[in-house]
Amino acid sequence: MSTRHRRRPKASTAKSHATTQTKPHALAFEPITGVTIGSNEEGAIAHLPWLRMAVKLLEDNPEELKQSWERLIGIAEMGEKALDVIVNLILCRKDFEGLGELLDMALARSLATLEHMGLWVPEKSPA
Amino acid sequence: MSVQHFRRPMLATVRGKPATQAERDAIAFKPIPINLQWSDEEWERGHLVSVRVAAEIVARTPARLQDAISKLAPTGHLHETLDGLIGTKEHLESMIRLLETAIVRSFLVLERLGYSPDNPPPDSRDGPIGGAA
Repeated sequence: MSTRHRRRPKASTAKSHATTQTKPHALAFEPITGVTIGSNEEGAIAHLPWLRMAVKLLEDNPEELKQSWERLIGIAEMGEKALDVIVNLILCRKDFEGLGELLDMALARSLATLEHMGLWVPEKSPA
Repeated sequence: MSVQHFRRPMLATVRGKPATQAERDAIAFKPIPINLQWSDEEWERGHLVSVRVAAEIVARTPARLQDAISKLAPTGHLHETLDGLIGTKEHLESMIRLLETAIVRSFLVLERLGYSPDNPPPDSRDGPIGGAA
């Protein structure tokens, strides 16, 4: 792990583990159960096509993007129609935001526990 | 997509404020070539594993997490595990920016095509596509 990752976790994520000046080693967080992660295949199917679609849209200049959207709107046979594309891009983004929060929390709890165990010392933030 | 999504798109902003119609019309953007190098399987292996590890971590009490770390530390895989969590988090942040940019650009272009909250593009629930523009 690089040193830049060894800083104290962000203050916002410290809510999940009580670290105070008076009780520097108190660890208190509740288990969060019921987080369901689908199978690898489900995860890939749910997200990768929309990531690839987003990448494709970003390769267009404004005129090309206009044409891409005209095509999307005009293809009546598509299972996914124009607005469904945007919905899925938005849902994919929300999913990733949720997963990011999960990872943040896991990191904060792990680092707090490592600190508690004396296995990790956060660097002092520069003034 | 429901009309609600179209009514509340992420707003294009200029200097941190929602752009006016004229400012939105004037917004230009350049293509961003992105090479997604991973296959479905590589993405699964690279990132879903870390997501599962994160779900395992948050499901533990402090004592159980401490116990798990005690067992993991001597194996030498602790740094690797934390690096995986950090790498996946950074990857997801990049993908969120990518998706957001694609969504904002799409809304801009849909507006230029004559669509608006009052005249949204066809929804799959609307039945056959007919001249909405």
